[in-house]
Amino acid sequence: MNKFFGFGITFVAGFLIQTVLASWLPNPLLCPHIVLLMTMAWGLMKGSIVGESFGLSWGLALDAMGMTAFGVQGFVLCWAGYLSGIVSRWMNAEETVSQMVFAFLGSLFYFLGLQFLDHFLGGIGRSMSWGLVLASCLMNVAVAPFVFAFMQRWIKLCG
Amino acid sequence: MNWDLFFRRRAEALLGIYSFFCLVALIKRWDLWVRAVKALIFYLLIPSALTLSQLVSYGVHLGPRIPALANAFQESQVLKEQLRHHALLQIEASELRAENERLREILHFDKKSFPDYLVCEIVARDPGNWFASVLVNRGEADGVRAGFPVVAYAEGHIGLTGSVEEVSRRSAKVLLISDPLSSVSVSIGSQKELAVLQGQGSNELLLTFIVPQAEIKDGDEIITAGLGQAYPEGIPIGSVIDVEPPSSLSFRKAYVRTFFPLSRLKELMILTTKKEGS
Repeated sequence: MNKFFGFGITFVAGFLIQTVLASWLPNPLLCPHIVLLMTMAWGLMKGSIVGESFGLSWGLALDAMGMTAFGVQGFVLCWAGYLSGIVSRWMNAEETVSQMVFAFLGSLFYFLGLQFLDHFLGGIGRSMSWGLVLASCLMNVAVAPFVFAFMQRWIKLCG
Repeated sequence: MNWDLFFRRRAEALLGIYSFFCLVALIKRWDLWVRAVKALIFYLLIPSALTLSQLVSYGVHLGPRIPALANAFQESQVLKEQLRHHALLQIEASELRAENERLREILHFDKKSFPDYLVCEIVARDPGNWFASVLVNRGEADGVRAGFPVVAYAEGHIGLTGSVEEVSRRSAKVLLISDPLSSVSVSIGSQKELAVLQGQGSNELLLTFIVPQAEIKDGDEIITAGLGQAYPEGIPIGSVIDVEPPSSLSFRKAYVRTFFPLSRLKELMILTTKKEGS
């Protein structure tokens, strides 16, 4: 498959999965952040450049669709993709436990990043409770092995 | 410019460019070009999101009927074809029946109090879990403007649902009253005590700034007070389910449950004029 065609499909599919999950789950707080996990998977498996590019694209798409100020999620997801690429040098992305730990740390980074950005520049207008942050992180941890396994196959297919 | 360094440090250079773009967009979020880029991305992505949302909706209703179709296949091919056709018709009919019931309920909506409203359908919810907001299929072209109150009719009750926050040509984002950013001035029960209702991310809302002497009890109905002109007066919201004991020094708090779960709504009504007398 053409690499850039694969990238395009991945972008649209990731965005749609996130949107549909958020729309159809009975409680939005139970929605795992699939796009964050996919960004980290790209960073881990293909390096920082691909990770940060996907992070930026998905982040801006989520900002455009949602209520956050334009650029908030783009910034944080872009950094998540870049750091995943850096971490990939020391981490075995195929181990389930590593994936789950990485998903937890990545989710924590995402929420703290949003709070940090909101504190200095605004754009979200709220502080999230620690319980909610923890619940969201654990939800991401629960789905991380499935997302990473799928992404391993998909990235091989994309070339 | 040292291009060698740029190419050796491509990841960091790109990260710098991306971060710079995001930060500028964030700082200049009210500038025309930022809003234009945001609107462009929205317009490019919304058709795919809407189409998939409809397909999923169809799939969700079709799913439970698949085993029935499989049994029919074992009996005979012809019967299966007939059953599949029948099943599809049944899905359509049940969808239409449900829609008909909801629209009938909406017709009973108090036309005298709210002479002009637009019925709209929820097509998507906020993709993140930060905001309790929904996307509806009515926009500027239908006369919707930011700030219009939004109500719903379900389970035999009219109830305030939220307000229009952002409007595009054919769609609008509605911030629900369950969102922690949402605050509504309300009056409580027959005593008409004033208070402020705040979202908490669920169907239970927090009632604050209740004076210590206020006589409120479980079951008291909460309606909009009409202060601040954000919402017209007299729209029901829910009823009190728990009241904190009175204290002589500080304001009291209470919890309110909406008449119906906001997460299960399918149709909303955007009030395009304010209630009479408000």
